[in-house]
Amino acid sequence: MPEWWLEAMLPGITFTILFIIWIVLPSRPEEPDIGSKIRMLFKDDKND
Amino acid sequence: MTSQIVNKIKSRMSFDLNSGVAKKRLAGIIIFVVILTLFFVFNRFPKLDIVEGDLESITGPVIECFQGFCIEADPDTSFISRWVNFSVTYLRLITIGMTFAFLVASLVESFLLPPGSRPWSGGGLLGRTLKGALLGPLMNLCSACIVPVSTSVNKRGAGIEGTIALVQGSSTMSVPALLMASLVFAPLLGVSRIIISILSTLLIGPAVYWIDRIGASNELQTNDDPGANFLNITESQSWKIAMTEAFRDWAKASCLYLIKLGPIMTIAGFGSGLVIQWISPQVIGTYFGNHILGIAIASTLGILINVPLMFEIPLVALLLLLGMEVAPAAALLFTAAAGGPVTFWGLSRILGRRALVSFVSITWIFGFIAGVIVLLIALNVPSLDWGFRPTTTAAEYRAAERTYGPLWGAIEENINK
Repeated sequence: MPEWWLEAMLPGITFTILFIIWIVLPSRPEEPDIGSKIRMLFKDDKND
Repeated sequence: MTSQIVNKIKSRMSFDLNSGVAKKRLAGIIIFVVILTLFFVFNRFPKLDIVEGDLESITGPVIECFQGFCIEADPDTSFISRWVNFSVTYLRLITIGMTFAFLVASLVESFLLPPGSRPWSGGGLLGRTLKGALLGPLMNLCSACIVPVSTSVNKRGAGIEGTIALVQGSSTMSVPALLMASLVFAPLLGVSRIIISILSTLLIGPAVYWIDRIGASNELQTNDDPGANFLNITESQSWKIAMTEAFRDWAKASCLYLIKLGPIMTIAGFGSGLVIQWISPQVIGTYFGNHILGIAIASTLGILINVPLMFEIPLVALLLLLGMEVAPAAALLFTAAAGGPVTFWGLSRILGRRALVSFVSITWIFGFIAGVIVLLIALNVPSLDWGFRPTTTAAEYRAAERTYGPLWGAIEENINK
């Protein structure tokens, strides 16, 4: 495995997981943001 | 009186886990300890071996490149490829530190000092400076990686002085860096680095704060009342709601830090990589002598480059072996660690223009003063005029090579014959 893999994979995986957490966890009612908008998109698709 | 103080301390130390803030803070402390331990075990401790390896590579008969930096340009490589290679290597080296920094910065905002918690801003000018100065060495990050963390504490009321003390404390007062510097360099250089690091951490922040205050209107001045700008939420919250809120805030803040600061830091990293290409054996002999101009150039070079934590140690050691004298070495040893384009550009988002210019200028002045003091000592006590501990035969060889010419080439030719 090349040396740069850890340097690329660690932040890549970390921030992907954090982005998923941002979308999956519900936001406060007064706090619309990109995460909540993506979450709403998925919810709307499910309701359709 | 004593019982009052004891009660006050007890009330501050008590951890009422009913409130959401207390739950978040407890979870935040646990997460912080876990990621800090992982960071130290897998990144910081191995870094000591890396720096040791760099020192061996520069004291060998043939100087090898270290951490992407090559003092002797390979004639087969172009300037652009050397610049890109160094910059990419630099960015690779700080990737894990930067990831840790983004995580800690957002952890501060979401868990340790969540919205509504008691802010960082108490304690006055000295208190905020000391908090930054004490937290900095614990972070153990380079001057670029500490930017996200200092941004987050600034948002929680650390003020200019606390923010800068944190940056300086982390980048220049890192315990492994100070230990390494005192072991690698002779006392004159090692001690000067320790003293200037402590002074810069304690003084640059307050100095920038005062300069920023002068001329600023009363409306724009920071409010010293610790509670004035913050709500104090003490309502009880279930663990589930508190953790959901905190983890979402953590994830969101981390992603936003990456989006806001990541591109700036990458561009500034390439800028820093461009400046360091200027260093060559010819430049060292011409500009880095024991004189005021040499110190001024070394200080300027230092604040124009960002280097990974402790990189400045093998860099300065190499430059000393190639002929840099001790006074500019003292200036560069401090300013290279203290800040650079990534630091200044990153902090420009939270410091005003006046504060930023003051921060850059005072950092330069500190490096310059360190160089001048070392110069005066070196001129008055010539026996101390040596910055690198001449303990290895390679160091003696380098000194001999400077005096008698390229011995190694001649030896190699004889061997090949």
